[in-house]
Amino acid sequence: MKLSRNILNTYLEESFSKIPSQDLIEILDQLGLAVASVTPLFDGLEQVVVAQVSSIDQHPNADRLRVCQVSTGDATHQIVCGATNFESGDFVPLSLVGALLPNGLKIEASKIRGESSSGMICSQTELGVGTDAKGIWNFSIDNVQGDLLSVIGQPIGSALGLKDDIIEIELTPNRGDCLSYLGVARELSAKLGLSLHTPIECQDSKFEKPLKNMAISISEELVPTFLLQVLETPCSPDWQTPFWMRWALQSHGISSIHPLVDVGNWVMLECGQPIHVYDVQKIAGTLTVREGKAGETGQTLMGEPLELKGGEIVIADDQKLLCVGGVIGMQAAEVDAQTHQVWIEAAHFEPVAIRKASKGIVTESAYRFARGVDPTSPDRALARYFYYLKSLFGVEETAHVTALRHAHPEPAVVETSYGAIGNLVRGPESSEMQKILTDLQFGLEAGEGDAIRVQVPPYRFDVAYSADLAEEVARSYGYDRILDEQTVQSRIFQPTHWRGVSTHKRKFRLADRLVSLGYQENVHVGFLDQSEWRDALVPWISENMWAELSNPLNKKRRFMPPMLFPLVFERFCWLRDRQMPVVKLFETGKVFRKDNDQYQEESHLAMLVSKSNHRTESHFEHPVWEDSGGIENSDALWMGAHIQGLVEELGWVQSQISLKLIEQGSPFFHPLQSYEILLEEMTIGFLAQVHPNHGTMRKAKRLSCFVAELFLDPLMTPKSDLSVLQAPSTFPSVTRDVSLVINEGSYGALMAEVDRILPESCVSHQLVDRFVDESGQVSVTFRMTYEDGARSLSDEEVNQWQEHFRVLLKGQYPLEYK
Amino acid sequence: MLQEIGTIQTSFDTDLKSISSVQDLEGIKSKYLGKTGLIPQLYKQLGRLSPEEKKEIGSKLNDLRHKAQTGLSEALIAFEEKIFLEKSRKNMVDMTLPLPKAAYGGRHPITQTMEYLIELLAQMGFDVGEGPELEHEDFNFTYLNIPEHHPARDDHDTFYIQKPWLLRTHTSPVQIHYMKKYTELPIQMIAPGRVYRADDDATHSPMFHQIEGLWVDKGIHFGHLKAMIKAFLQEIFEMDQVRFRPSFFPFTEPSAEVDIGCVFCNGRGCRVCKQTGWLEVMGSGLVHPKVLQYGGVEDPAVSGLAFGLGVERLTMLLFRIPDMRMLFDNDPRVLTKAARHRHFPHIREDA
Ligand SMILES: [Zn+2]
Repeated sequence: MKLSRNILNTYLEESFSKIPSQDLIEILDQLGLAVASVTPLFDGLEQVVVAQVSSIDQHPNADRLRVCQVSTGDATHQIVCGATNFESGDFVPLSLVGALLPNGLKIEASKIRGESSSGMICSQTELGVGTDAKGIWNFSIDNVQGDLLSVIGQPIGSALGLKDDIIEIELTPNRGDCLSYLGVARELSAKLGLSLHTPIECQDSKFEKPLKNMAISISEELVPTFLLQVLETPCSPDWQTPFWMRWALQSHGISSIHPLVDVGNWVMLECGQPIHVYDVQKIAGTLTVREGKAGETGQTLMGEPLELKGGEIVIADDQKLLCVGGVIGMQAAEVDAQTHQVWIEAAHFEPVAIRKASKGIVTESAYRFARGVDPTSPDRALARYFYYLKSLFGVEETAHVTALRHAHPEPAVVETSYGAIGNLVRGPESSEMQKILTDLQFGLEAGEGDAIRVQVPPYRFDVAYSADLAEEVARSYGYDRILDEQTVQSRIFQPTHWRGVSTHKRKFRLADRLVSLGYQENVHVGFLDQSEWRDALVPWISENMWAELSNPLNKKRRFMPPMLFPLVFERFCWLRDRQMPVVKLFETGKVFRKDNDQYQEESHLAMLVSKSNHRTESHFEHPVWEDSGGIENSDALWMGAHIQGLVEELGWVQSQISLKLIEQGSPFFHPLQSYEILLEEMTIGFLAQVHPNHGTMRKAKRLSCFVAELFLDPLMTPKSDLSVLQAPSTFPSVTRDVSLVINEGSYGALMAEVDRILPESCVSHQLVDRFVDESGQVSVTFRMTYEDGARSLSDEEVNQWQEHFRVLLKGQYPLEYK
Repeated sequence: MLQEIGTIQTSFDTDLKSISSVQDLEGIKSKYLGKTGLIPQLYKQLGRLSPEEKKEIGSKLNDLRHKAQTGLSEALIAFEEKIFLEKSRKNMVDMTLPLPKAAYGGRHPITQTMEYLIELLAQMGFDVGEGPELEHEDFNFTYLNIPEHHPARDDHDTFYIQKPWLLRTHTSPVQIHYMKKYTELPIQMIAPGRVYRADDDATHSPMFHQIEGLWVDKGIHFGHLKAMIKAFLQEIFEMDQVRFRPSFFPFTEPSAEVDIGCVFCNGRGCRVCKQTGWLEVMGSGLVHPKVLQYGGVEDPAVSGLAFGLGVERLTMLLFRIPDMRMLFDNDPRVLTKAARHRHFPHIREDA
């Protein structure tokens, strides 16, 4: 909502105009009417003056230019000008040499095609006012009031009384009552204790019965009030919207259309009640207010086709739509230069109906009705409309208001007490609350004790509870004056029940652990293109399990991620294209899945490690990259080790993860390098190499890329181990090596078996060697460590245990000792 | 014989100075101290001397032998050190060279800010609550006093999955989840997390983070709200300038927008604060009675306060990141720099 400071001043007692606009910002902010901007008009334009064109000659060297002699009273300036919308004798704004225009243009004396030009005749936009850039601003055509000759040569801002501040306020959706000058003035009057100049109130109108060609057939709920006033006086071409009114509309962004429409728009800005004008000659048969039917069409005043969905409030005649009530008029009944006779509508429409009907259509009227217009204002607005017709055009007409319907709702009432309000807002005394509410035009009725019965003004749709009244009191009293609660320090800073804190802290510790292992954390917006990832995710997520946005911003990226690794993989590709191919990334977040019309979400962690096999491409070296034991793709092993670390970080200190080859994996992954991650027989994620033949990897032959996805939810509740920690043994330990031949990929299964039959005194075992012979047979050696906390172990007893162990294992694996 | 001792001493010193290899040292050793060396030969001559001479010359000879032995072992140590340094020089790392980059990753600025705020609020006694990101519209809107067709719904630019399922547009629905789950007073919780709005430009991302706060107890009033938020913001920004402005949120009444004095210009007015001297940092208010009802809080003596803040905005202030898109590009060149701000120093000092 844009407000002209000059106009706002006229609704409040005079001392208001003394308050500088800069101070008004603070006052409006404190009222909850947040000021977005204050734009001074004609600020610093002292060198733009009122001038009169005394003669015009064709430019000798240019068809499109004219050479004008322009008078500023005591001097004449020669100006070369391209615009043609002025004649000799017209008054215009002239920027003198030296003037600096709002668009940054500095006016200098120059020669244009050989003719000297010392100044510039300006358009409105060049002066930073209005939107009319078509031609220069011709005061004579624009009907600027006053004796222009008497102010010739004077700066136009002060000479024409147009120096002003345009204050733009951002209204919250609950304050539809402030969408007018009167609404804002009412707030300021209560806050500042200044009297309000209300435009004349209408006398109790006597309503006429509807004419034969007027009808209403819609529920009273949707249209409680519908008034039509017949203007008997025929329209005259002499009627012209006065300059001040056009200027006021224009500073609000509304262009001048027709005097009868302009007056209606002006009344709307003044009182908040939208008004619509119909050209009677264009109405065929009966004007009917009814519900719209699906499929009805029309052409709006903005020239756009409109098709109804059904259920809208419409005003139509026997053949066509005339208006979508409260939203937008149709060209079919548009007022134009030939218009002879009009009907003027002021009505009240139900907000929700307007919100539904105005989806996608932005009009001043719909904006106001959707936020709620005072249901009692149509009468007053019509009276005000005719007040202007009389004062501007001398239309003498008694109010022949036809009421198709006229039902004012009962005012809302809040039963509360000063105590209840004071319990929420400490500071103001009862007497102060009473004054504030009365100033804001709430009706107060005292009850028993400090109880009050508060009648809410009809334009305040947002007030229904004591809390709402507390806000009214607080706003006027001043948020800054409300007392801080001193005891708050002792009430907070006191741990209550921390149920969820530790979960979050543990996730942050995971992140810290990964950071110290060289991983960079990522945060992505997180929408995926299903067509890119559908096949890759098939082993886990079938096509109908993707959660899809019904109104995406991007047609392709319209799916919620069912796995997180695609997000970091896409980032890896992005970075690779920017010469940063070697990265270690991770991200935590939610993944989404649809199961039988139910949506599931889970916390996941995705990791990605890319490695260049080409030394010069690597910018990032670390001991973990050193190949270990001749095993290829040590990246994967290290990632596994990192995941083991994460699992321990989450409290699974006794548990080893194991990896199991996935038989029918994702085509996105290397078939021999795709592993399920198991923890105590529970699947907690997967780890895999991106298939080197996958399209995007082909482009970067020397890169290998591993990704892992960890399902965090089952990991957040680790199996707890409450046994007392043992002091380490002070007696020497004994080791024995076992070598055996295994099938590739079965080491995890072997270890599970080993764990099952492990002798009691064996405190640890680890892989120390792996060998593949020429025939491809794999043999591994692992070292078993025996220890006893109370004594030294003898070779004999260790040999005995080892022998027993060997016998148990021998059934399945060829064994050899070293 | 004394003369001979003197001559051997002199030639030993000369020989020792001229060595250029370990072999030279061995040569000198055998020349002077070997079985048939010069010094043992002199010892053999001792027998021919008188007891007095024997005593005098014997002790001189002992001195000579001792000097030769220590001279040789010292020379050996010095020579080895020389060789060691010569060898080392060839494969020594010059530590004055630029240091290599340690393979240290980094936390994302957003999660760093989240962790910092969660820790701070947890210290203030707040529990962490959780709610789904894919939310039911009743929780996202209706229970927060935003009925269907309320203009505030339109303001939210909601991403719908399939009515009634949507992506939560704020963390406020967690208020309801938490109140329904835990009824014991006081209810004191924060809800950090991702939220979504169908808006994408220089200052809006379709996904961003919020932290919601809720404190419900008997007799909570606006004074608690002001004092609590001031304490919180003073902890972060170490400054006293905090301003409360009336505003509108459907789920709070009264509602307040909270501004802090601009940390970049100390309130004098600058580009960041659009010359106002104030920065808007959070929204807050007393919990709307309808929201308490929906949350299952029946006792009319119980009231609550709530607040919500945008993590991205705070992150940009704390890390001095000028453009929100820089946060989501995840460019390591940006993130690495950001990681250095991880301790949240007092940000006004070098502003
Ligand atoms: Zn500033």
